[in-house]
Amino acid sequence: MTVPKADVLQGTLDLIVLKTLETMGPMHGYAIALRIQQVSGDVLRLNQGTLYPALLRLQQRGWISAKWGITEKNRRARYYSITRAGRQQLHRERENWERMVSIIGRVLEGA
Amino acid sequence: MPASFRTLISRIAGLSGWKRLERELDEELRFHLEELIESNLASGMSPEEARRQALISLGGFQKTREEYRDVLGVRVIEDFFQDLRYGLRQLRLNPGFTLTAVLSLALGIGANTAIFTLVDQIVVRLLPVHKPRELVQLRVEGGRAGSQSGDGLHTFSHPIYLAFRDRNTVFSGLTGQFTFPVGFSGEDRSELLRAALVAGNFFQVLGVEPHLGRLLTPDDDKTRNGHPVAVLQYNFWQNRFAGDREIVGSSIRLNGSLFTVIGVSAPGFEGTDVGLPTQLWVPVMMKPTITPTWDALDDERYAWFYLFGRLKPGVTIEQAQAAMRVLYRQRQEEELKGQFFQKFPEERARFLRQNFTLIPFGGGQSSLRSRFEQPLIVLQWLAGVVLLIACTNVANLLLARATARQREVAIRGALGAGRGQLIRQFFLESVMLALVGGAAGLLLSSWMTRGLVRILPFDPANLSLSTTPDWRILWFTIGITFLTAVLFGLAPALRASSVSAGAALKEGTVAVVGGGHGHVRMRKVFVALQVGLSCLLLIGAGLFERTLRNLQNVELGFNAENVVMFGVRPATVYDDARKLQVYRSLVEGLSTVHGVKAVGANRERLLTGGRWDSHITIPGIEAKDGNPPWSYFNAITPGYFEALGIPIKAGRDLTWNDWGGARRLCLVNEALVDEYLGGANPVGRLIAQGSRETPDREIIGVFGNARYEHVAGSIPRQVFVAMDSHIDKISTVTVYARIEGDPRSVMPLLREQVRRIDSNLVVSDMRTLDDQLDMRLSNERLLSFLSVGFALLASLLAVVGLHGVLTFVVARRTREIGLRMALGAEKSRVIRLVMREMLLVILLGTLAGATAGLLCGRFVESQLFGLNAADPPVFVVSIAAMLAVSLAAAFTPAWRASRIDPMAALRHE
Repeated sequence: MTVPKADVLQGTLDLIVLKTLETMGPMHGYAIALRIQQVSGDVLRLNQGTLYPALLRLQQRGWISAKWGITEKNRRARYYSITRAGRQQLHRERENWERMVSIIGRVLEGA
Repeated sequence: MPASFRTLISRIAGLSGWKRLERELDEELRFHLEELIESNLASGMSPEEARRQALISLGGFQKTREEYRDVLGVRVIEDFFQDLRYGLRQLRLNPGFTLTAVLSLALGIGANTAIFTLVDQIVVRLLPVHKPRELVQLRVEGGRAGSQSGDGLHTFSHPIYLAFRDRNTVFSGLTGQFTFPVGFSGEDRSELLRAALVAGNFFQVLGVEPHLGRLLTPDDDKTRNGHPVAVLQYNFWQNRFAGDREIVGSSIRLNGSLFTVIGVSAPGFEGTDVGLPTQLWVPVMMKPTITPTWDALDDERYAWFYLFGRLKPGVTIEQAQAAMRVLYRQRQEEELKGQFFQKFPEERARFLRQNFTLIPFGGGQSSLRSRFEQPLIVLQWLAGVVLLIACTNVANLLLARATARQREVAIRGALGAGRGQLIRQFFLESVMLALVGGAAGLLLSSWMTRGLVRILPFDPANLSLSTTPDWRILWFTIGITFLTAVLFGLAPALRASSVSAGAALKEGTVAVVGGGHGHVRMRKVFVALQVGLSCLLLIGAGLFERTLRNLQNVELGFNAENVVMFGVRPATVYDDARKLQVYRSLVEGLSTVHGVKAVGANRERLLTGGRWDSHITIPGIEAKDGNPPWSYFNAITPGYFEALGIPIKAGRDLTWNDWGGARRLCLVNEALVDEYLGGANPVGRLIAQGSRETPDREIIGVFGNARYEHVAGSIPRQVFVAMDSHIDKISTVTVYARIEGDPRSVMPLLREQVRRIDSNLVVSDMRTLDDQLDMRLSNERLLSFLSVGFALLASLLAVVGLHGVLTFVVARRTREIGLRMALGAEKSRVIRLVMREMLLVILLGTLAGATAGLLCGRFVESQLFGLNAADPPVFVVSIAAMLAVSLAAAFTPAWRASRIDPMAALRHE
């Protein structure tokens, strides 16, 4: 799979993070990175550090929130959770995608 | 944005205390790394390998940190600059639109700022003294007895002042002042200064500090004529004495007497008359020296002193008023016991009906304010209306553009731009427009204010009004700029961003254009608003213009063309004999100047609003319903009637043979003869000035009715006494010279002649009689000129708006029109079809404007003359003009529509 361009990647990344947090509940950065690896099939195996600026951006947009907590191994870690606005954004993204799919589908079928 | 800039920003953001967040990031990264290492160890790698692989997976720490910093500090700024650049490009790509919008806004904001610059200084601002809101002025209305000088409302006698000062319980200080022109003799020349005679505590009550030396104190207020000291005003000291610090202790000559300068007041204080600064202050005890022709310092029944005071802390104005009323009543009781009321007991009732009040004095007593407050406020409202129209225009333009950008908006929306973001973007464009318009308006305003001040009837050299905006004005401008941005920017921004992606992306232009229907309705509302407001302004302009014309057409009774008038007074004090000689030499000497046809002088200057009136005693004529006979007075020299072109209807004029003789002569006008003497020839009869005096003035002639102090109203009764028999009361005279040819070319000759006759004479306020008339009508001229300007501006804006909307509508319906024409519709039908769209808008707008005009009429009633605020001709003409102009504006696009080639139109997308 070719490495997609930065912006689209970023948008996809945001989507994955939101979806992950919605499904799995609050997670810390490492767990999110693991999940992304599993889901996207090693696309993001390298440069996992770039996740953190992305998480900050999501925080700035108000779609996720962060809080420090303790892991099972008794270590300090920062946990991220999705906010209500984040859930709404996820919903919007889903709608836009489905609409796009249906338009393209009609184009491919009809013309 | 160049990388270096970004790095700079992020470094600044990084330095500005995001340390904590960076530390937290480090902790997160460390945690992440440890987890990776553990996971690697668990899958069997050696510790070194585990660590190496973990570091590779995580990626560069520094890179991550920098990206993080970027997001932290730069994000908001990035967004903002992006919006800014986008907006600027939009404006640049549409120069026509941008220019029109900026021009409209600049004119609207500029006009408002210009007028507010004056309104602020003349009407709103308080005196630059200590706690000006604590200051109050004393005022008595009606029923005055005795003599008055000044406005007759706020003046009191000096003995009453002393009684109030010593016996009141409500003022922490009560003081008084009397302003007057004083002759100031320097080494080389003499000039008239604006001076004030003040009580000793004047500066204390106001809370003014000295800049140099000391100010007047109560110790300078003890003995009559015993304190020949003076305080200079700061600016006057800078201009006239070049800021010489040695001035304290030196002597100056005022009205010929020596005074010692004891100090200079702090900068910023100009006295209590806003805009007309006082140049020096002298103790009131020096009045007999300064005004020897009328001492009145100890006269209980001569009111000339303006009183004001500072309320004690905790005392309200109502409490103080009640307390002072008691004191004033006591004085009234004492005065009732006096001689005058023994003689005229019937005056008692009127006297007791006097209304004594205290009014706030925080703004000082301003002759500028009393004259111009009302017209200025009217003008501010008018300017506000113009700004509203300008905003509406720009809003219309923005809406039109928004329609054209619908596709763009829809795509951005589909790609994820939030509605809030879009609104912010559009609003930012509006704000940029407003800022540019506001800046341009600010520049314009300075120029406009200067023009306004020139219309004011004061010598600009005397006015201390600033024509450049200061901080207050700046805040005002910024405020209305943002207000206008909200007014014209918000609605279109909301409208423009509310396009749903689906509707806009659908195939077929019909849907897209049809989606603009809401836009069109809003634009029509805007146009109706503009038409209505313009109609309102037209009506206002019509009313003010006709008022001015009515005033300018009033029959004056004298010939105002080619007459030069100027004030003359000696810089020092002359005795009566010298005055008799000098004024005769003056008038006779001036008549020899080349170009002078006739010359004369009087005491009360014509057409200034000032007047001298008095009771008269006419033997055989009794008081009519409680009012003893009275008349306007003036004192004249031979040649006066000839200079002014006033006809002598009976008897004869004064001659120089009468001058200095024993007889006390006078002339009366026709109005007096008709009113009091039943039209009979009064030549030879004796009358007297004052009530129940012995008649000793002989009437030698009757002169034609002529205006005195104003153009409006009926012509008053007038008694003009010969100046020589009144010389003891004369200080300044006004000379009138009828000129052959151009009056202005003779002015320097006249000045030179005065100097040759007596170099101690000071000439002041030289102008033509026409100019004096203009000055008298300056209010009306101000209103007329500006309201017409505003109305024209508004109409222009409305026409532009109308034209724009209709062009847009035609473009929208091009296919439909093409279709109709292809089906055989005639051109005229097309025109009518198109115009019908706007007809309702124009009619409703005009009707609304006319109704508003009727309703608002009563606010300007007081400024009108010769017509009332619902004057039918003005309304009819304004409405007709508005309709005609609007229909003409609508006609052009309609006509162009009828020229559409049907085939091209049908192919139009």
